[in-house]
Amino acid sequence: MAETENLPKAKKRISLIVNGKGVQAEIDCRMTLAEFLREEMGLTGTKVGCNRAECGSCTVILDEKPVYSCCILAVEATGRQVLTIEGLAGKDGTLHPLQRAFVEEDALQCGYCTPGMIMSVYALLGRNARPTQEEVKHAIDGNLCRCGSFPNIVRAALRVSEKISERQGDEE
Amino acid sequence: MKSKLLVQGTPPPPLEREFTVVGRPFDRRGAVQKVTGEAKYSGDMKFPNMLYGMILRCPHPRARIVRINTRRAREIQGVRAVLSCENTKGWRTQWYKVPQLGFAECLTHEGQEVAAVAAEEISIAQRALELIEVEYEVLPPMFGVEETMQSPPPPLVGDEEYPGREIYDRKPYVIKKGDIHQGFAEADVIVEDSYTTQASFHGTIQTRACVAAWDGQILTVWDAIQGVWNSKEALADSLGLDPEKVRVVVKNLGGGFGSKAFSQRISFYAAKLSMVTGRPVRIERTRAEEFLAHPRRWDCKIHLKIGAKRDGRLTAIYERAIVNAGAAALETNYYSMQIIWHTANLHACPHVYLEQIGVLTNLQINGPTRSPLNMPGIFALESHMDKVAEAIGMDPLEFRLKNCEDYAMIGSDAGEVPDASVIECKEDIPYSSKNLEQCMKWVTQAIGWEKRSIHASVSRAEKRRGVGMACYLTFQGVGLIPYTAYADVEIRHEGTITLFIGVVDIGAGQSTIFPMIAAEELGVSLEDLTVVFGDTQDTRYGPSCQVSRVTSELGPAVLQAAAEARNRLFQLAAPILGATAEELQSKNGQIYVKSNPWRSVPLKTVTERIDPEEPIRGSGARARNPESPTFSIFGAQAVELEVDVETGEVDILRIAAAHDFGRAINPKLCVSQVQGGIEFGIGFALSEEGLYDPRTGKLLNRNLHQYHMPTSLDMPRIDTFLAESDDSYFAYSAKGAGENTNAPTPAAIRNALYNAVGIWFNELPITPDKLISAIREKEKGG
Amino acid sequence: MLYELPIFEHADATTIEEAVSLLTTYGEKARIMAGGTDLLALMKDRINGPQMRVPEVLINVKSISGMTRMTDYGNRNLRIGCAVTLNDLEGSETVRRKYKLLWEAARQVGTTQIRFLGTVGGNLCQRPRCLYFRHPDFFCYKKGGGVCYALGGEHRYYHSIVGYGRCAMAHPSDLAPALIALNATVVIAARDGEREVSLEDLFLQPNHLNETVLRFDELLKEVRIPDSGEENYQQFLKRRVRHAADFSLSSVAIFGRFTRGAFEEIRIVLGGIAPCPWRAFHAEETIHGKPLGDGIISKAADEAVREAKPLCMNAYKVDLTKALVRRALSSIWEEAIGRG
Repeated sequence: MAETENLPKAKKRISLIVNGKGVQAEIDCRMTLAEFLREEMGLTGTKVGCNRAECGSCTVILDEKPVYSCCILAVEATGRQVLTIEGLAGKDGTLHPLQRAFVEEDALQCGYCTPGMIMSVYALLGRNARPTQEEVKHAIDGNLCRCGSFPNIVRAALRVSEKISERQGDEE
Repeated sequence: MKSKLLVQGTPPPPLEREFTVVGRPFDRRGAVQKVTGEAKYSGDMKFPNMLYGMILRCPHPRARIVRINTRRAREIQGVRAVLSCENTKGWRTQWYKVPQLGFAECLTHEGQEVAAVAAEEISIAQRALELIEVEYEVLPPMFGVEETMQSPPPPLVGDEEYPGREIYDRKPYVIKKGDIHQGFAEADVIVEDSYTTQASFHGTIQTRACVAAWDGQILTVWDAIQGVWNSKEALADSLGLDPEKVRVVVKNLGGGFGSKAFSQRISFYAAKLSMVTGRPVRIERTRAEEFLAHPRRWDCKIHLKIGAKRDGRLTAIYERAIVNAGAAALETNYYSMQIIWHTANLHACPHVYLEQIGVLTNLQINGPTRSPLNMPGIFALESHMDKVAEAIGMDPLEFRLKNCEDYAMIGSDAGEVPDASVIECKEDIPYSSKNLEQCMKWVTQAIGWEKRSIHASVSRAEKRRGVGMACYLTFQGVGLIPYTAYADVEIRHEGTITLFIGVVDIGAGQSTIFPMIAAEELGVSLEDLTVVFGDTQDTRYGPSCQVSRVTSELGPAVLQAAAEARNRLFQLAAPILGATAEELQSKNGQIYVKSNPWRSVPLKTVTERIDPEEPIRGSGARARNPESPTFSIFGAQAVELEVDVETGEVDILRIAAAHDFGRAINPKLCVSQVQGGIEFGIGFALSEEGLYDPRTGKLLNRNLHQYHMPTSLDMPRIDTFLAESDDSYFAYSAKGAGENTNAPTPAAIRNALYNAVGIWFNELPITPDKLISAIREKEKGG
Repeated sequence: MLYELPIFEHADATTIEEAVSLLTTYGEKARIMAGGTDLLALMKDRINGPQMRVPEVLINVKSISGMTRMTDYGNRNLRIGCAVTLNDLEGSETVRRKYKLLWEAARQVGTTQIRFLGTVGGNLCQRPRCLYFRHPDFFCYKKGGGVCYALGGEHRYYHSIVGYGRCAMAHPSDLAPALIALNATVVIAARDGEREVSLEDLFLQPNHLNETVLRFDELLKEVRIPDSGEENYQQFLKRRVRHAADFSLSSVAIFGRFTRGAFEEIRIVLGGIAPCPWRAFHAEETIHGKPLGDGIISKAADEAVREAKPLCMNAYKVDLTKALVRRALSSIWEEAIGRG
């Protein structure tokens, strides 16, 4: 009956899609999505820099939205789609254009903020294929980079968006 | 031309051909792994049988443990070890080469370690910490430097210790030259003022994590530190192991900036727990612990009095810098002369009396933080220079150019480990190369220096613009203890070429630029080279990547190693080409006769002649710095900003930065370093500060939300110029870049603010409350 | 940094009644879980007090379909479920066009990721940003300790200049001033049914341990904004330390209905400077019904902070707030006469 199903529980079964693949698990409700990805699934590309929704290194895409995975309970991700940094490259290892642009523009130094940063830009390009420089800067306002790679990150994002819109232009 | 490369033995002659690798903007090595998420940092490591460690920390800045009882913690199922002062008497750790008791009974700073547990699961470790009973006697702590200096140092209680107290506490360290009284007597104008800079933190996005695994024979530590060799030695010393039995590995580091230099505290606790339990132990710091129990930048109060002639020549500089040294101060975490060293050297002046005083307090522990005392010192000096310029009615750029000379007053070695607390400078020491004038001219040109007069005349608008500049030099830790660095190159029969360097890539690109140097010297392309780094296994000593030392220290050694290996290869190639080895050159994977380049043979062909059992090896070793010349990096930055005079909002519109790094091995990576430094500088100038409760001295803002580091929207457009020149003491003239690109930024911002609103801001950070209050005060005043 | 959250039980409520029933059953042990951006952080740091226990039960309300929905009732009102996210508000054409105050406030909260997760209800119910409140070692007034450490300690950014009592915190919500200026009401769901109150009445004066009137067994269901009608002008301004992420040092929300050359209806609400969103009644009186000009606007700005009694280190907020009020008033005045 619906009511007993909704009684509070300390452990729950979850079923979600991570990087295109279905995953099932039984987990503690206290587990955050970041912990689930890193500890249960071994996807350590997503980092935890603060665990307080402040630094952005844990950013993943949840149903097309960029979110702080340290702030999402894994049990609340059930039935949803998650995309992490590991899901961007092609199956044969070809880098996603955004990843390639980050490398070529040197949009990273120590690399710790990078997975989260790329996901934020990826999410932006999903909702706005031709962002202005200001729009890019706004889209990454929740990703801290202490190495100061911001100018190169913005350049990488704009370069990729140009390519995407060029390609779209060709198709039109 | 004889090479002056700083290596032991005879330096290889300069490469007399165009460069094919050095100077190219190659992609950063390891970047692909970082953008795909494959790159593993120490916190990503997981091992079977691994235990989780956690540390219980003292919540008081100064306290004595009256009673500690770990019994209940020990009894929890799943707890495998509990360490405290009860069972580790006399055990010492060493962080930044500061020896300190692992678990003291008398604690000298908030966050100091009281106990450590290792458990099967992290929740069990958390529970264990909660069950450790500690009764503290809270002792009256020392906080601010001024109050502390006014009372005598408190008598020590129990095993309370402040490493370095006998050497540095409240003792003036002095650099002097000429006669300061005469200098002021000669001055037409004397300007005096005081400056205050704040405690600030590294804010690396990665928090420290360490996995230590003792297998009964060997201790392996996967760590997050900037120097594997320093850590190896310190761990061995602390744990009573033969250094040969300790291996430290760092494959990727999530930001250093000095925070992870030498060896770090949690590594010791993880290692000890591992030795006690016989299992791998992981300890990861929370973000709050990063702020709390971790070396940070000292807060400073700097008083300057400068005399100058009307024609712009400086005649006298008096400085008194008081530094809040925290709870421990030894050479590796406190630099007794670093502020005054910069003041002595940046601008030429015949008479100086500069004193720096460190005061030990219970306000956390301090350590190298990107441009540790350079940034505060340069802030004060470069701010004051603008004030002096105004007093004599001279343009600030012209004023600086007037006092720019090619010599230093005091070399870099002297400031690091002074034999005496007073250094009297007699002879000026020439720089190996100095391009500061060019830097200053470029940035002021780029920013539109002429706009200053326009901006200064606008006094009514709601939003006002300003332009300002500052310059700097670097106290570069060249040739520091142990005065050497090693590199090895190996070429094998199969054609593989490997560079072995015992340093860590802290994100500044070490794993890219050293192979570039080696590849150039060998005459191969970058892809042909493998590099082994970040591991004490298979490498020899390399310095910790801090104090801007690595490129300048390791670069020559790498070049020498590559040259030696190449020359041995030439010995094998010589008979093939019918020439002597001395007549040969290599480039782009080909070995050829210099006088007749068509006679060439691919490197790969020659390597086939190498005995499979005996690969060719070349070694390099850095030599100690000479007493003369001295070495430094120079640079200048100019800022244009806009201030909203009612809301205090500061928009930095643009920063022009020019740096003299010698030559850029990889210009793309150099530019990244400049941008990174500017991020630090902007934060220090406008928003970052450690906030302490005035009553208890506890750190209040232990998170990234209340410690305000620049976001993407706080970063301006940055135009970077590299003022390149030759400096034959270093590998391909590369003096290094990295660290100090943040040193001039706060002063440039502050000077631009003066241009905009006519207020001298002498206290950092220049936060909205200070801006608004100061502007209102000025308006009321008339 | 693993598993910093305490152990708790989790339930996905599917109806409001179910959520209320669970709150009633578990009492002080339970809390509503919406975006979680504030709640989870407080839990990880174990911030607790007599009226804020570290929860042992979290009740997810995003699983209640009405809570995540916005319904436009045209000329009557716009109803926003309290689990609607800030990003949803930003992306809503209706909100942008008709309720600009809310739109501007929502799109400037925090960071991009916060806006995708944070909800209307969460923003209204968020706890103070005071460093002592958020520090587990300080047993401050709101945590039942009876002492306000901020008064003699650090209070530059997130504390009040007016209306404070034994606790000096300032309410950090930006949405609250904007919604109050829009005359919004909230629907509170309780055991005995639902009741609608004006949003202003949701907030408590200082000296309470909580900031809202919500009892442990009540939750915010919906925010309702009455149709603003024609000829209305709205302006929201705020200032924070950095250009993103931070909470407001001061925020101003102004709503004015312009008829026959003057603002016949004017609401000026200040945020970040008082324990609850602060209606600047004196400023409103100065403006109401009068043709404006620089002089009156300046006077109104002065009146907005007339009662301010800043603490020793936050007097700058008086000047800041005055400036923001002045600018916002000038802005809507110019817009009104520009059109008229």
